[in-house]
Amino acid sequence: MQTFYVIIKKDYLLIYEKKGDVYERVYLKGKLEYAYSVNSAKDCAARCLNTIFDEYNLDTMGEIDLIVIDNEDEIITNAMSDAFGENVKKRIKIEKLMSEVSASIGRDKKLRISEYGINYDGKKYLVRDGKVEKEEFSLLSYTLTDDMLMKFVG
Amino acid sequence: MNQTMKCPNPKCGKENTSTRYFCKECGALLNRSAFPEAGLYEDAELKVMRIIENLKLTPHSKVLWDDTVDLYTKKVEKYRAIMNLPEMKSDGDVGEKMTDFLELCTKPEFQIAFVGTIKTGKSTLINALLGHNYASMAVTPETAALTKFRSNPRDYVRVTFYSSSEWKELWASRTSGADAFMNEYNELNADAVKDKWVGHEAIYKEIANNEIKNELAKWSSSKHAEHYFVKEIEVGISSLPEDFPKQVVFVDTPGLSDPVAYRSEITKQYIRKANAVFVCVDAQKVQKEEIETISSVFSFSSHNKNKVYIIATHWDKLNNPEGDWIDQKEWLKKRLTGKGFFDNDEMAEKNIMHSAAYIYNLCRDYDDINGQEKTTLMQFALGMGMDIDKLKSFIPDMQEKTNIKSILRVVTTELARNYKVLLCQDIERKYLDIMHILKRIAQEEQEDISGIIEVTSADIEKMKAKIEEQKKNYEEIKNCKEQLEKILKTVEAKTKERLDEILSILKTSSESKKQK
Repeated sequence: MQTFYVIIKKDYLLIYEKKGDVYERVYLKGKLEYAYSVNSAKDCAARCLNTIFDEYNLDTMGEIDLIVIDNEDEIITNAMSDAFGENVKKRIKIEKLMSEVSASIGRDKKLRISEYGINYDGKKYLVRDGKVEKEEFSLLSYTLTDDMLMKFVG
Repeated sequence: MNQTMKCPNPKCGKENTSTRYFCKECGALLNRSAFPEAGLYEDAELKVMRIIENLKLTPHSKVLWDDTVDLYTKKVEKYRAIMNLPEMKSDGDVGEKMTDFLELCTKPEFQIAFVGTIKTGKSTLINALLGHNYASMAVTPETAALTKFRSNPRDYVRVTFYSSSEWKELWASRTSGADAFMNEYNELNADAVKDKWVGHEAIYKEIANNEIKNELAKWSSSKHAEHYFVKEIEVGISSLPEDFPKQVVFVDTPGLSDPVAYRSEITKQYIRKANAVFVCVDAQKVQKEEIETISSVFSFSSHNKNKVYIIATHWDKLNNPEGDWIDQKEWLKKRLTGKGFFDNDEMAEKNIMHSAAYIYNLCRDYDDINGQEKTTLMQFALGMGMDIDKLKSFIPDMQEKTNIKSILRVVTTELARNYKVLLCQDIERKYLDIMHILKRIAQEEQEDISGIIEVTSADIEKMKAKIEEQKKNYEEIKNCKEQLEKILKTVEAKTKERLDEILSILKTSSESKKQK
């Protein structure tokens, strides 16, 4: 079995592979970002899986296990996750991840995470009274990169 | 000579003019030594550094179809992020304009809004133009939810629902004419499912092409309680004719005279934003209500009257369609030219058209229609002087008579072809409008801040003068103290001297007495 981590971004997918304790980005057809369209989710998902299948010389599609990090947009998330079908072994909600990221990074009070929140993929996440609130991207928030996010996937 | 100051941030080190407070590259505070405590400037420095860094990372929706528009989009995205800062003066108008602008640039759609009073055949006309009966054309009013149809590689239906605040607003907007609405609402027991659907997350389903009609009916039919809570339905269709422009979106609106004012307000917004408006009126009876509808549409389109098209539907139901239409069109041209309507006769002539969409659809689906529908077709053919025994051979001629192909040509050639030009003009106009507003806001902010700096500077000068005065007072007091200390010392010394003298005298006197 080959496990891949898929971050569903607004217009593209990011694929990671865990090597030891480190998450490395995977190139598919020479590109780090795998573009998709929600309006043709099934075709895009099938092409993505085929590319992984070819590049990793797998015997069957069933060998591909995907751990999907959801997009904040339910429509995109559900469309792509459904399109990947049985290959999806686990889904991680982005809000849950952001809660953990906030708690961890927020220990450094100077970063003012509890006040200004965290930017990720065009949205701002702020933990208030234990709940993760989502708002528009803010210039005052701490901006998280994809590689930094992966450190919290576990 | 301009002095410069090096940024203290070890990751930056950029040279800045000495008049700056924060580094122009990274936002770090330049002259930290002016502040005895870090706590005084840390918050401001964090904010400036974050703003500068995040401006480089502002999310950008790439515009693939035009580089200039992509540039405009990048700028407006950054300005919008700046305007969302809590410190900025709130101007709800410019925020909304920027959002609309970005949507226009990133999802360039040519929206054609179909408007009209109930049962004017909007849905039938849309089905004719789409090439298939997707929207319901039932005898009783069916379309209550705003429905968009667009070309897409795969067939899908996306349904969005009112949020709870939107539903509250909608419920409160029921006018005195909403009795029928309330009766139907109660009959369907819609309140029982209200909590399930209000605030429901959007539903997106990829479906087979032949399932679109049923899926659409499920959400838009007035026979289903769910439809009350549906805000908008979007239908992606993969099987549209080859020459159907990909960017064209047909918007079937609920109606301007909806007794629920909130819903008619949605229609009005679409008319304002739409690139073209097809106003459907029944060719048999263009009366006061229809003229009022047309008048409303023109009032929302006053900046571009050429975008309004009057489609006289049910043309086939006129007693003498071809003859009567000539008179009817002349009457409409006269009525709809002048102040508040078409600018001139030529515009009216071009933009007033007839249609018989139902007949067109029957011709299109000839092999599948039932006996009653065939009879309808035969009656039409008879009225056109065609031989009903050779009905099938006259299909192309009948279709031509319905004028649907002419309307389609308007959509695919005139509107779509001019679309990019019109779109770029629209974008440029909106961009300049936004820049004008932002410039005004920036000037007002600058005046406010200059005022604060002036007052603060004046206060600083006053404080400086006070400090000087106090310094002077302190010096005087210090001098007085020194003098007093000197006097004290002198008094002490003199007192000690006198005391010694007195003691000496006393001692001498005592010794003399002893000797005696």
